[in-house]
Amino acid sequence: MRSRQRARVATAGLVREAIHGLMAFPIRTALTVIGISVGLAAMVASVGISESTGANIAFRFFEAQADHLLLRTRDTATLEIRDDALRDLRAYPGVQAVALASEFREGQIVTARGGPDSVDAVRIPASVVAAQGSLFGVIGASFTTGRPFDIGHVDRQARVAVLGEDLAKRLGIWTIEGQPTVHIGDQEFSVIGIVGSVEFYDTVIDGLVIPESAAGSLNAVRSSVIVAVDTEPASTFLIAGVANLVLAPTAPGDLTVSVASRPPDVAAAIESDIDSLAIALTSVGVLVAAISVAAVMTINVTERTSEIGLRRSLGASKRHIATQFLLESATVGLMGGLLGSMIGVGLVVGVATVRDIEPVMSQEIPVFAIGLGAIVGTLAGISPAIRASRMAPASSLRN
Amino acid sequence: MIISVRDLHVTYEGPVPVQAVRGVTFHVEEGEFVSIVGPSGSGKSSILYALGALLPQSAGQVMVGGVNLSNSSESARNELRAHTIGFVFQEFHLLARMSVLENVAMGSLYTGVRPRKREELALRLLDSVGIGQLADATPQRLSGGEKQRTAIARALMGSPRVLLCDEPSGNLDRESTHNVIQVLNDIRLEGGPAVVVVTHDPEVQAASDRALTLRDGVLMRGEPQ
Repeated sequence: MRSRQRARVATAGLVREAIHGLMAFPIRTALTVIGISVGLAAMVASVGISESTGANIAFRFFEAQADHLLLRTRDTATLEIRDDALRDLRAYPGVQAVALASEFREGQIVTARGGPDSVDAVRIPASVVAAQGSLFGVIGASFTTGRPFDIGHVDRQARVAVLGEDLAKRLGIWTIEGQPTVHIGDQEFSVIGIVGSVEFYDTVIDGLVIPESAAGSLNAVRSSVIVAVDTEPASTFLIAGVANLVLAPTAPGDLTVSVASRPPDVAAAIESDIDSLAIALTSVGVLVAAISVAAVMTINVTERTSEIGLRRSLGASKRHIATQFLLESATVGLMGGLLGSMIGVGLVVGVATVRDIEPVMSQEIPVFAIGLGAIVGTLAGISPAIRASRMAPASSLRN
Repeated sequence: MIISVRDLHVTYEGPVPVQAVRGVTFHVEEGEFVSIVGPSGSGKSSILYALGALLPQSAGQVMVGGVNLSNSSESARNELRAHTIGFVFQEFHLLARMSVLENVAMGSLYTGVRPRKREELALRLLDSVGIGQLADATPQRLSGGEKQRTAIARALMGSPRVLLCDEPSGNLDRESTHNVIQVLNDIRLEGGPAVVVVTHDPEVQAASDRALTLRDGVLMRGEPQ
């Protein structure tokens, strides 16, 4: 029986009706979209500007706290760092200590316990660093056990090694009691210490360090030369600008320079505080936008009373009516979110350009603003939609 | 019999309840053209809206297309309006933001028919009521008669078995009224729905098969004994 067929309409049809509904009052719809977009643009801009400012503050802290430099030869460079160049750098104002090291190609097989041919050998590829004893001081190494090698080890070309803690764990070495040894290729080295942490140059934690003078016995290819520099914080960036010229005056481009600092905890905390403040302030704007959407949707429902009656006479259920008005409200919110997101990002870039700082913003913020717009629009439309669905059809038609 | 009304009462609740319809009984056969006449406030429109499942009845029994509205669910009443009943109103209720074609196609929006098929049917119906050339126009550009013919086409979109018209000529001049009567008669003669018209217009009344006369909510004459 035909009358028993369900009175139904596809979602696409409801969406089309919702868009038609919004176009009934184009100026009002446009103003509502602009209203909500202003609130969301303020949110995006506030968070973006606070993030940019926070990042700038973090950089200032970084600048103030930076106290290490690491210079590394490029992969293709065959650069030799001369002793007199190192002396010149040590003598440079603000430089506290300098250490030279070499890295050998990754893939050096390091074995422990009884040598490479023993039954219980553990073979692990690891980074091998050959260095002067001063390296440990310059990179701020903390030992969990044992000690660094000294000038005596270097002079004697002693086959000793300091393990990074991560490598030591993988090799199953927890202590130097019992005089553990490791093998690099077929060369045996006595482990005299384990480094638990460094202030910079993390390669050490997952590798091992041997005296530069003992590296000649390795059948390995040197991959790069490292110069670690300990500096006074205020001088770090100044020294970073000239260190490669001092060490390699004829080919400064063969050295890359990186600046290291302790994590700027204070800067991160300030950034977080600014973010929280910005979100709290802009929440008020979003709330106002939601109220304005609710007000406009209520007016829409009132002015479209006879249309609601007509739709009911055509077979629309209460749910159809409520869904249509909710879709209209959500669409307004979504459009407001899109527009607000674009305006907000534009404001962040504009303000950053004017203030000459790097514009920084999490990728999630604009997407979040668009979603928030749709959610705010939907929530704001609930009450008007329910009101529309509850209208008595006959009296609506007589309106 | 497509409509059967027995001892219908409609009362508007409020501080002072108003009894708009009091014990009305009548029926309408398939394809019949029935007018409901009477002075303003006599309960004509209340009966029409009760027949259309748009107004809850206070007492009595109303059967439309085999569905008993007295005890049917909200969902069954929605389905009845979508598939069995078509409405034509004095105020046309055309949506100004839509074209004539879109307004007509909206007539079966809630029946599950696909948009393209709805538009094809809407075009055919516009042709059948003589305004196919106005499909792309907006309602503001139409005369009163053209608006009412658009509304009739919209009401026919769901292929209803009953067409309920509330003062369809109330806002029309003589010529347009004549045209609308012609359209309603044509629909009926082509095997279309039964037509129930609430009217003050003697010409519309004269075109109907019979007239039910109401006074103060009571049926005075028109229903065969």
